[in-house]
Parts: sequence; C-alpha cells; structure tokens
Amino acid sequence: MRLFLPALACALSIGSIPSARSLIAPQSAPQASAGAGGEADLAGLVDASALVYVDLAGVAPVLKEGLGHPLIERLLDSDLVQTLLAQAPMTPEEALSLGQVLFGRPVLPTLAALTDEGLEFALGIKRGEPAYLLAARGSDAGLTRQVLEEVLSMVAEEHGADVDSFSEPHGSVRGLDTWYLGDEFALSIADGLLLISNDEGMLRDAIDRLIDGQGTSLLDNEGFRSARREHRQVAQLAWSWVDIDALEALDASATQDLRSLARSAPAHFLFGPAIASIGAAGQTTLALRLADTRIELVLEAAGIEGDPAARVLPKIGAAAAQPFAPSAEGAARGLFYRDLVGLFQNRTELFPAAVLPQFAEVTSNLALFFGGADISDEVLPALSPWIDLVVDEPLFLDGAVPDLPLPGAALVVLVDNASKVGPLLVGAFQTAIGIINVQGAQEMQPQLLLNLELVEGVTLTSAHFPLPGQGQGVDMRYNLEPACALVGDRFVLGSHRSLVAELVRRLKGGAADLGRDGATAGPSGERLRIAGSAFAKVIRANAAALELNAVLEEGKDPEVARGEIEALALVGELVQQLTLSTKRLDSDRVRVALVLDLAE
Amino acid sequence: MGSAAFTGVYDQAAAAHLLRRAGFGASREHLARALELGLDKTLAEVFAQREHDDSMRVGMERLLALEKVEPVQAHWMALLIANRAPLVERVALMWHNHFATSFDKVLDSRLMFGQIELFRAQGLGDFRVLLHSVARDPAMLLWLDGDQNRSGQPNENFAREVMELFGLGIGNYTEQDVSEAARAFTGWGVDKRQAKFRGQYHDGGEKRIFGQRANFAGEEAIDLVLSQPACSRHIARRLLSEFVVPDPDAADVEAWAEVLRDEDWNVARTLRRLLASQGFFSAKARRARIAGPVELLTSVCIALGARPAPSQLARAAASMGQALLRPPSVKGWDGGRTWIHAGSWLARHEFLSGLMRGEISGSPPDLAAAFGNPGRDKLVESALSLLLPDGVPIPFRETIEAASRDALDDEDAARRVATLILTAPEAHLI
Repeated sequence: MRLFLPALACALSIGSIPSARSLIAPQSAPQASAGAGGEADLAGLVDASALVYVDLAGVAPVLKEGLGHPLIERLLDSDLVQTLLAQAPMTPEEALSLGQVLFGRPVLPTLAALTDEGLEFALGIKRGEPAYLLAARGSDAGLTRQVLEEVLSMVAEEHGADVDSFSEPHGSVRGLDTWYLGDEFALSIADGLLLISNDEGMLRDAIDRLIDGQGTSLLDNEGFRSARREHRQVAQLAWSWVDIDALEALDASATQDLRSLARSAPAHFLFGPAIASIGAAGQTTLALRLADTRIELVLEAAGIEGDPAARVLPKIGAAAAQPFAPSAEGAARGLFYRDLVGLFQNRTELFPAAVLPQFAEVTSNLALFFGGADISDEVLPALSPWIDLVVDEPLFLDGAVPDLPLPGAALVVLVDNASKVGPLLVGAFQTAIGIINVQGAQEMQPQLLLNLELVEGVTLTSAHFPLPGQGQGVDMRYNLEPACALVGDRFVLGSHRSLVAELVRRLKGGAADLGRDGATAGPSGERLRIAGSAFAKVIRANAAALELNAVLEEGKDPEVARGEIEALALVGELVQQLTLSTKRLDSDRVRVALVLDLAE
Repeated sequence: MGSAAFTGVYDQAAAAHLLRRAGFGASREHLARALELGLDKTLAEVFAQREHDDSMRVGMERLLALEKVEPVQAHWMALLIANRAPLVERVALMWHNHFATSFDKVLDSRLMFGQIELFRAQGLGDFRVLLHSVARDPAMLLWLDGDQNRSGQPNENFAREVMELFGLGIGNYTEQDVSEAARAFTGWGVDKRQAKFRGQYHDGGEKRIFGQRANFAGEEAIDLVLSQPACSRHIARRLLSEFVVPDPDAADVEAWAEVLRDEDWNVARTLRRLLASQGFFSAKARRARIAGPVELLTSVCIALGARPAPSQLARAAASMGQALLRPPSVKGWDGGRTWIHAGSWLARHEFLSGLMRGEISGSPPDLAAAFGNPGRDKLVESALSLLLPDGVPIPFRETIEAASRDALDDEDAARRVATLILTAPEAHLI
C-alpha cells in the first residue's frame, strides 16, 4: 500500500511480537550478539562489513541536563557566547520555549527520553550505495511511539500529504510496525526501540538479527570489538569507529588524502610521526568527552604496525628524555619527538621518490652551515629526538617593539658529545646569520648585527637588526632577534635573545634536572599546550591590523571584521588552555588527543 | 576653450561629467543630489570632502609592518571605493603618475605609502611646496638614485626628471642645466627611512643653471626650475590632460598656466576654476579620455554599490595594466589608447562580467537598488541615465532593450543590461 511516496507500505500491530526491549536487553541478547561479547545493540544488528559505527550513548544525559549542564552553563555565561547571543534573534531559553510551543512538548527532555537507553548509528554499503541504520532506544515506549506518530504527521503535512496516512503503520517487518517515507527512509518501531534506515534491506537484516539473534554482525569484527572494549571503560558523549581499510578496498579515492599523510615529509617534520602515522591506520576511533569545564577529543589509530611510518615513532613504553624541566608558565609549551636520523635513514620507503632529491639538497645546504660536516653522520645522530619548545612574550629592544608583535619561541635539545657537536651548532647559527645578511644586502635590507655575551657564564650568541628610526615604524622583521647558547649538553635556539637568556638562567639554575635516557620520570608522548590568554593577547595586540586585513583581503565591512576579531579574542579568553598530545600506545596503535580546558 | 566660467545647462549629463572627473563617478543618489545642489554647491562639496575613515589609517600603520606592497595597493583601492575624499584621491592618483615611483626599485612599502600620503596631504596645495617635498621624499630619493648623488660623482637621474618630467618638459632645459642641477642636489640621502643631508657629499662649488651662476643648493635648484615660464605651462598641461582633454592645445595651456600663477600655484583653487569653466563642460571634453583601470573599476563600484575585496580590485587593475605603486617607468603610465589592447580589453570584459554575475565578490551587486528599482519597463532608461547619461546610439539602445525583454526575470534583466552597458566601449570613456 503506497499512500504517500513510492515506497509506502503496510503496518502491523506491535502487540503480535515479543517486547523488543526484551530482545535487546543484554541479559536476553540474541545468540550471535551474545557470542560476540554479550553486547546486543546496534553493532549486533548490522553487517560485519559496516564501515562506520557511532555510539552516542552520552548524549541523553547531557540532553536531560539541558542548559543546566555545567559545561553548557559555562559556555552560556562566557563573554564570547553572550556577545554572539546579543546579535541572535532569541536566547537559547526562548528558542527552547518556541520549540515547546511548536512541538507541544519540552524539546530537550523529550529527546533525552527517546534516547536514554542508547543512540547509535552505522554506515555500510548495500548494493553499491551507502546505507545507514540509526537506532534510538528510549525507556518510555509509549512516548517513543507517540512522538514518532506526531513527527510523521508533521512530515506528511509539510509535504502536503494526507496526515491520516501516517496515523497507522504502513506495514510490518517480522512483526515490527514499519513506516516508509518514499524510497528514502524506512522506520520500524518495537517498544522503545526506533530503527531508521535509508535502505529497507538493511532494516530487514537488522530486524532479523534482532529477533533471531543469528548471523554475523559487526560484533564479529575483532578490530571493532577490541576498540570498543576499551572505549566502554570511559564515559563519553560520543564514540565512533571507522574501518579505513574496508573503505579503501571499496573506494581508494575516499582515503587517498588520509593515506598521503603517512608519506608526507611536511607532515612528518611539522606535525610529527604520531599524526603522520594516522595515514597508515587500518581502523580509527574518535571519542568526544565532556566534563564540567573540559572538552576532549581523542583519536586512536590502529593497524600501523609494519608501515614505515611506525619506524620513526618513539620507542614503546619509554619516557621522554626531556631536555628541559616542565613548567606551566608561558604562552605555550611543547615537547616534540622528531627522529631525524630515522627519517633520513628510512626516507626511500617513507616518502615519494619526487621529494627524495630535496633531502639531498637539504643535506648539501646544511653542510654549508656546518662548515662541510656531514650532518646525517656527524650532527643529527648527536641530537636527541625529543625537542622542548617554549613560547613566551619576549622583551624587545628599546625602540624596536614591532608594530605587529608576536610571541617568541625557543627550542631546547639534548646534544651528545656536546664538546664537539655544540660548537658546530653555534657555528651553524653564525653562518646562517651571515647568509641572511648576504641575501638582505642584495635587496638593500638592514643587516643583522651579531653579538656575543656571557649569561651565567654561558656564551650567548645573538643577532638583531639596527634600531629603526624614531617614528618610522617597526617592521615585522623586528620580531626576529635570533639567539643560541650551549648550556652543558643542552642546545638552546630561539627567536629572541631575551627568551634564550631566560632559558639559560633557568637551565643553569637547575631546571635541567631531567635525565637523558628516559630513566627518570618524563612524558611518554608528545604534547603541546597553548594558553588561551596568550592567544587572546596576540589577537588584541594586532586587532587593528587583523581587522583592516579582513576588510582589504576579504572585502568585509569594517564593523563585521571588528566583531569577528573580537570574537576570536574572546575565544582565547574562554579557553584556559588547549592541549594537543600524542602517544604510541603499543606497536600497532597511536593516540592523538585534543583537550580544551575552559577558564573557570 | 579658455578659462571662462561655464554658463551652459547644468543637467544630469553635466553633473555626471563633473563627478567623473573631480572624483570617480557617482551612485544614482549622489548624482541626483549633485543635480539638485547645482554646480556651485556641488563643487563646494567636492572640495570639502577630504577626510577618510580614521580606522583605515590606524590599521594601515600596523599592516605596513608586513613590508609588503599588496596591502598598500589594496588600501588605496579601499579608500577609492569608499569615496569619502574623491578629489583628494583623484589628485593623488594624478601626482602618482606625474612623479611616478615604483616599489619595484624602492622595495619599501612604508616609503611608498608615505609618498602617496604626501600626495594626499599636499596634492591640492601649492605645487611649489609639493615639488620641494617630493625632492626630499625618501622613496623618490631611492627611486631616482638621489642617495647616490655625491660630489665628484654626480648622479643626474633626479635632476633630469625634475626638468623633463616633473617641472618643465623636454625642450625647456639644456644638458648643462641637468648636470649642474645634479651637482646642486648632491649630498642628499636616506637614513632610517628619512631624507638626510650629508654635507660631506655635497658639491659646494659654483653651478650655472638656466644661465644663473651661484653656489646653488638643491632647494635653490628647485626654485630655479619653478621660476621658469615653462614650469607653470607644464603643470597646467598636466591638470588639463587629467581633468579636461588628453591633448590640450597650446592656447589653453597658456591660459591655465596664467591661472595657476594667479592662484599662487595653489592646485585646489586652480582646479576650482577649471572644474567650473566653459572648457571643462564643453562637448570636446565629455567622455574624451579612456578610463585607466583604476578609474574604471572604482567608478563601476561606486555607481553600482559593488563591494569586491579591495585586494581583488588591485589585482584586477594590475591585470588590466595598472598596478598601483608599480608604474612601468619614471614616465608613469602612458594612458590613453595604450590602456586598451586585446589582453587588457579581455581582462576588463571578464572582470566586469564576473562582477555582474557575482563571481568576484561572492554575490552580484544589488543592481535593482543601484538603478532605483525602476521595474522592467524603465530598466534600460534608468541604467543608461546612471552609467551613460550622455546618450547612446539607437542600435545599441535597442540591443540593450532586447536583452532586457529576453531576460528570465527582473534580476537577470538588470544583470544583462548592466553587463552590456559596462562592456560597451562608451563605458570605458570618462
């Protein structure tokens, strides 16, 4: 019976089948699902070939708390959201009240009740086309059915169809009431379980598994099972799993960009081995976790073992040989792992042939800086792969505070055989200044002036541009006042003399108390922490230029540009810190976590 | 042509002509206001509009720290389409072409910006003061090698251009005048972006310039140039070719040179008389010049309320042959017929068509509003009265009317009509 759109079909009363909840409850789970860990949920209802699975179990509790959820309250109280809401047509409370008037029931509590026993989504391929299945499980079966009927009526009304045509189910599948919306959607309901799919076959298969408890399902996928076993130990808002290998087998172009990450030299050098190796993953999971003042996004990539990208990851279980004592101060702080020797040694397998000549070029150019020394043999092996990064506000020379001031940054690395390699590094720094000056002279640019001084008994080499003329503006270049120093077996290289001098003082004052070989406590992965307030400060210090740039480059109205830059600064003030960390979990997996801590 | 005051009919076409030349055209509302005010009050308003939005200046001082010329080019385009000081910008553009200096050699965006600011600040004032200022402008000193002009090794570049291009014109000086003036200019250089006189490099000997002998310094050499009768004629010719006709005749040049001297070399007062003169409004002067890319793009944006990103406009002007702050040589842009060739015409056509289709700024200009919401039956009339008020040949009008009739809807009609008008040769004349 096709009443509305081409695929409308008949319905059957729910009373003729056993309670769906009894079918889906763990204690009475179907055989196949139970055999796969006793998890009789959507994962037990979809094919083992499913490509994507999303578990949104944590959504209902958040919906239940609504605007009273601590994190949402914090966001709503922030200057950023208040500023944005000032331009919005209504407040969140007003929007929810309007929703209640339109739908005849409170929006968030109703959504919570419809999903309080689970909300899941799976995507697979059926007959060569993407097919999905969405399952919402609510504890109030009557409410679920009532809301479904109301929504279907609204949809019918919206499409100018006969509202009554949705008052009864269009058919049944194994005794479950079923509605059809053209060829696009099929919905089945049993007790508090609502199943929605864009593929009737997928829906029927799911119902067969639900009732019979037989046949293979996603729960038979070992990779999926083991990934989910771990995730279930932590409360989270959402968790998703993607079978990259299966997706690639179906359509290689869909994973092309991701795969190229593992073979990208810029990705390895800039983002690091953990992020680059995500490109080699067979499966990935992504979890979103919320706390009172924290938002956490955790990505895990599995199946990297055997890929060349795994060879340049940190050793399993080893703590970092951190060159510098950790500190919470400063605009940003980072600890990175770059196995430069490994990258050079494995370059033919890691990178496309087209970029290999660039390695030879870099080696040759660097030899110039190092007075002819072979950097792959004499320099790189002496440098620790762990690199400490300190970002902070520098002290500029009097009269040379740039019109566009930027934070300064310094790197600290451990050096083996420092008495031999250290002078090579300092010499390379001085050579680099000389080369910059030669290039600058060709363009009639001011020259960097070299300076040597003693700081705490350590020779600090720095360079700076001559002071600009009074009232003549201070160019961007004055953000660069490069400096370096060798403090024992630690080499410090920074964008500003003041930053390097401060690090020298701290290292001489005992800040270099961490060991060289990982024997002492230290992190086992990379991390980068950025203070939101520092970000906001940079934005505010450069607001006039950023606004005008938006006007000139994007054609924005000055008022609009001003509002956007202010919003960006408020984002910085809302975020206490942003932390990006990576960790090698075992020989086959890496984890990348992004944590946003809101200011109290 | 002469300098007699205009006594003819000040109609819509006349008002549009005035606003095109004294600035960069007008929107429909602005044009209606100019007509309502009458010539004298409109001129008073044109000369009174001299201030830009201050936030544009504050932001630009910071952006200059990037040491790039592109923000300066885009900033100028932003000021042009903002249309808050049209005559100031028209005159600045004229002096930029007269004292043509290029970033490609100066390599300092702050100095280039400073030179344009100098034209904005002094361009309507006393030309003699302006010429002295330009002679001490750091960008000009670098551009014409003034900083390399030393006693015993004089560099004649600046002295030559002061006579040939800036003050007198070819035939009004001798080679000896150039070499002797170059000696007078020795010693000037640039230190930390400021002009600086270095006495040890100055040639303190006697020089003979224009038949006069003395130990002339640079300032005195400039004064000697300004004292030549050819100088006022040279500047009058520049004003006439910019504001009236591209090739003014000798009698007109002489007459306006006298006006310039009468007005004590004040450019604003001279222009005030020029823009109210019979010659300015003569039929010979109307649509007599081919619009340069910057003039064209600015006038289209102002007329139609289009607001592409200023950086896009600057790049478009460059693709049409006029990269601001990057004139091709010390002579500036040749202008006139050289603006139009196959490549530049295609660039103009593509940009204007793209602008009407919304491909340049993301959305097309609100043409209905720009034309005063005339409805389909009066669309062509409204569009022509704004964009080509001097009238068009009947066949062209029929073509536009047919395009309007055949359009899918009102919006499509306005887009077709505007595109046809703007890509017609007549719309590229100002």
